[in-house]
Amino acid sequence: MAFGATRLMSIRKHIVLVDEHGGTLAGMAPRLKELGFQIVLISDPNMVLDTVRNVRKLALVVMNGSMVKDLANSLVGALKGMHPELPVLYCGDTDAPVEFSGPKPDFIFVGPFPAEKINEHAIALLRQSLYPQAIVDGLRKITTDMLTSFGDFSVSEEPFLKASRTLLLPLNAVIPVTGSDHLAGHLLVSGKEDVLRSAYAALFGNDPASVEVLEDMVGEIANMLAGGIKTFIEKKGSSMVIGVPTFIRGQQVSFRRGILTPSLTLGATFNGKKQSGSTGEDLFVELYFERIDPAIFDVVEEAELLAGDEMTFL
Amino acid sequence: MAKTILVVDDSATVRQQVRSFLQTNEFTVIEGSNGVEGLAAAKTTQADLVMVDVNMPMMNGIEMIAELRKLPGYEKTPIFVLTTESTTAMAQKGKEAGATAWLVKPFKPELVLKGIQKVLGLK
Repeated sequence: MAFGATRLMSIRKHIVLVDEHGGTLAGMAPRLKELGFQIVLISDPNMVLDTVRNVRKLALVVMNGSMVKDLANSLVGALKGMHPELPVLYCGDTDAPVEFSGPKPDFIFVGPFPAEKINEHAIALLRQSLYPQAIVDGLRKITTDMLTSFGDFSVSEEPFLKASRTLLLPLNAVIPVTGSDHLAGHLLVSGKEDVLRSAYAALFGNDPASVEVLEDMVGEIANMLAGGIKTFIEKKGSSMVIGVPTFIRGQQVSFRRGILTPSLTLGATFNGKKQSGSTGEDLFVELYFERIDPAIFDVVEEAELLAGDEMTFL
Repeated sequence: MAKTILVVDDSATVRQQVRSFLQTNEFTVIEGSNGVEGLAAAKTTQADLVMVDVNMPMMNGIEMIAELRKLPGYEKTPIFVLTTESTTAMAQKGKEAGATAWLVKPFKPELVLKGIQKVLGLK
C-alpha cells in the first residue's frame, strides 16, 4: 500500500483553551506546556472559530462552559464541521447543562474544575489523538511478549505521555525507525543496572562480566521491540526500516531529538527485583513519531508475514 | 560425538542466550559477531548446523549464507536464520541465498531445539 505525502500528518502542537485570563483553564497550561504543546488562550468566545481557522497543527480545544454559555452548541458544531477529527473537551456548567443537538464534544467534564483533573482528561484525549488505540495495544502486546522472553517482567496496563527529553533510567538504547515518506521516529528502552543484572543472572545463570554486557542486553531488547513494531507496521501493508542502536549511559541525561513530541511510554517491573532491592519501574519503553501517516492504522487487511512462534522451513 | 553449531549474531546477549540452551542440550558452540567472523569460524571448524542473524555490521546474514554455500563442506549444511525480519520477501532472499529455515525473534528455545533435532536427525 502506498501512502501519499499529501496525507502525511505532522504531529499536532497547539491547544486552544477558551477561558478568561487567569481562569481555571489557564491553570492547565503549565502541565500541557511540559508535554511540549503550545497554548493559545482565548478569552472572547466569539474569537474561537477565527482562531481555530488560523492555528495550524491543532491538537485539542478545551472550553469552559460558563464562558461560552449559549454559544456552546453552535461552537462545537462549527468546530466539528471544520475539523471532524479535532478533539473537543467541554467543561460543563452544572447550573446550566447544555443539551448538544448536533455534534457532541469528545468529552464533557462536569465541575468542580481543578485544573489538574481537567488535564487528566485532556491528556487522555491527546494520547488517543496522537497515538491511536491500535498502536497503544500493539506496543503493549509486543512489549509483553518480548520482555517475557528476557525474564519475569510485568508490563503496566496503561501507557502515559512523556515529553521531557530527560532519560528516566541509567542504561539506554535508542533506535531510529523510519519509513519511506510516511513514518519517522525513535524507540527508546531505559533500564536499571541492578535489575538488568538480576534479569541477566536469572536468564543465563551467571553474573554479567561488565556493564557493556547489560548495555548489549538493553540494545537487543530495543532491537526486538523495533522488530515487533516493524512487523505490526508491515502487517498494515506499509514498510519500516530499523536503524542501528545508540547507547546512552546515565540517568537525568538529556536525549536530544528533533521535535519535542510526547512519547508513548510503557513501564515494566521485574518481579525478581526484591533480590536487587530496586523500587519503582525497572524498565521503560518509549515510542515517539516525529511524523506518521495515520492512515497506516486504518488498514485492516494484514499482509502475509512469518509468525514469530514457529519455524518456517524454506 | 557432540554436534557443532555455529552461532552468528552481533548481539552478545543473543549469542549467550542461544549458547546457553545449546550447551545445556550437549551441543558444541562456536560463534561469530558478524558475517565475516562467521565465515572465518566456519573455515576453521566444520559446523553441523549454522544459526545466523540478518542485520549485522561488516557482512549481513544473507551475504554470509551465500558465501558459506560456496565453501567446501557447507553445500548442504542446515542454516537457520534467527531475525527480527518477518516479511516473506526477506525470507525469500534468505531462501535464494541458501537458508534452510527462518525464525522470527524473540524465539522459543524449545522450538529451535526441535528444529535442530529434526534437520540433524537426532530424534
